[in-house]
Amino acid sequence: MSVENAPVVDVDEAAIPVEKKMYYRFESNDKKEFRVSELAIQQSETLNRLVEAMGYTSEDVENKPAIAIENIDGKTLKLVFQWCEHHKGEAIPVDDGSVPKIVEIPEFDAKLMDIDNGLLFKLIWAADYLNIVQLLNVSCKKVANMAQGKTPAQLRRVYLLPSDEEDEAAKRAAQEAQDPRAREVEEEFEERKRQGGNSFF
Amino acid sequence: MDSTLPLFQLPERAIMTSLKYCGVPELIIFSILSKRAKHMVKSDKRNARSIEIINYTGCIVVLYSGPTIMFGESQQRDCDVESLTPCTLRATKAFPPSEISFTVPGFGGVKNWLEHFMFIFNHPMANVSFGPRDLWKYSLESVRSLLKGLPIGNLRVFENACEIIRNFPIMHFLHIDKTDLEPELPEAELNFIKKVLVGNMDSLKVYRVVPIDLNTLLTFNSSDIRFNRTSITDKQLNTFLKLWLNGAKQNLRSVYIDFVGQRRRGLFLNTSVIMKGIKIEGSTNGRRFDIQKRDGTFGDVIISPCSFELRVVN
Repeated sequence: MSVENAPVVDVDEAAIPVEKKMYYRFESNDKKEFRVSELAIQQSETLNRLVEAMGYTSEDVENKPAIAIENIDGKTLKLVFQWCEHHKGEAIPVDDGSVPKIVEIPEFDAKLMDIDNGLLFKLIWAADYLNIVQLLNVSCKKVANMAQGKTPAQLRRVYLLPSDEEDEAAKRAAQEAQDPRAREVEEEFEERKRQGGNSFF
Repeated sequence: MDSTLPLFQLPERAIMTSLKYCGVPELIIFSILSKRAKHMVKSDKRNARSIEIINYTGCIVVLYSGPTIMFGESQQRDCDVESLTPCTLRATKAFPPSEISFTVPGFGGVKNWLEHFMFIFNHPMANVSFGPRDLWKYSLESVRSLLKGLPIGNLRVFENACEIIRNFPIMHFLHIDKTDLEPELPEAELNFIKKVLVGNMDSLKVYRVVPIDLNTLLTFNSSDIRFNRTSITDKQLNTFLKLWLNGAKQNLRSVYIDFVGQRRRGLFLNTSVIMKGIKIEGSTNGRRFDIQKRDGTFGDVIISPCSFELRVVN
């Protein structure tokens, strides 16, 4: 098990007030461990509820195993916690349903998200899963920015958008995967049609 | 570095959040890429305030928030709308001033865009404005086929009222006007228009084309009525108010009469004649009066020297 830098964001220890901070330990699905401050955790509604429900003391944090986050890898989780540490204590935005939404990507976030799109994709999934509203906002803003000035063909390529036919095929495949008998029935129906039968039943 | 990102493989919330940050031109382009994309843009609720075919300029989509979109603009007169295919879309913003123009080859013409915008911007009706005949960019036949099968919201007519109304008989709001230079309509045409005005439209604005007398006013079924050419006298206004108090015109929300003719002749409305015998619940400046029907509905009567208004207050 490898332990990532803890805390995730480098902290000048001398500058920290005497009051003892509470940290939690988390483990990614590839067994990377992170120590994250209580205040940073509050950016994630999911983790905040989880640690509240667990009721850990400082001793528990040290003595019990790290809290496993099973569907996020270490590389992604590191970005998530870096973001949370940087924005700890900030108010969590409330969606008022207005459109278009307006958000500026701060310099720190822009640097953090200067990553390949594969990792950005994972970061968005993590922000959604962990319910980190502002991280989801800025990462989605980055996705929206990819569309700027694109032609239809370019936009289809950038977002890998399936055509209607591909959507239909995927939908059928999903239905069939849910009900394997459906395919058999369809094949039987097609066979009877070929044989000239008018009635299926 | 990979320049692609599979948008539809993101969680639903992330897809919708990304769309909320997209500019309108990008959103329009995105919406034509597939049925799924089109429905997603619709559910983003960038609702239109109005979608209008203005026959002397082109088509215009005004959003509640965001740029104004113009398309189907023509330099020629009386052209076939569909000859403007593929049509250029212009998205303009006043603050800060900006304009983006783009075309989407292969998408189709003005009708396609019109239907598409009505769908994605959640605006089920198109308004139509006909300016003076000399300025028409699209032929009447062409506008007729453009609007075939589409619900008309407001129909605004300036000149040639009869000809146009015959082509677009169903609308929610009718606004007709003419220039002072346009000759009076023949009796048969006036009667035709009067018949149309009696229809079940939400709102009517009738300026200069048709003189409205009290009997005609009483036949209107619209809830909002405005007109400015009338022979209605002060005494008839008094009758109208009494009829309303006694239950006539149940669905009326407001009626506004601009007595332009009287103004020109230097004549003014006489408040004491108009309000004679009517119980006044409250009054402001001797020009504004609260009256009440038996069922409790209040009416706000506003009388200025040359205008009369009744607003119904529930």
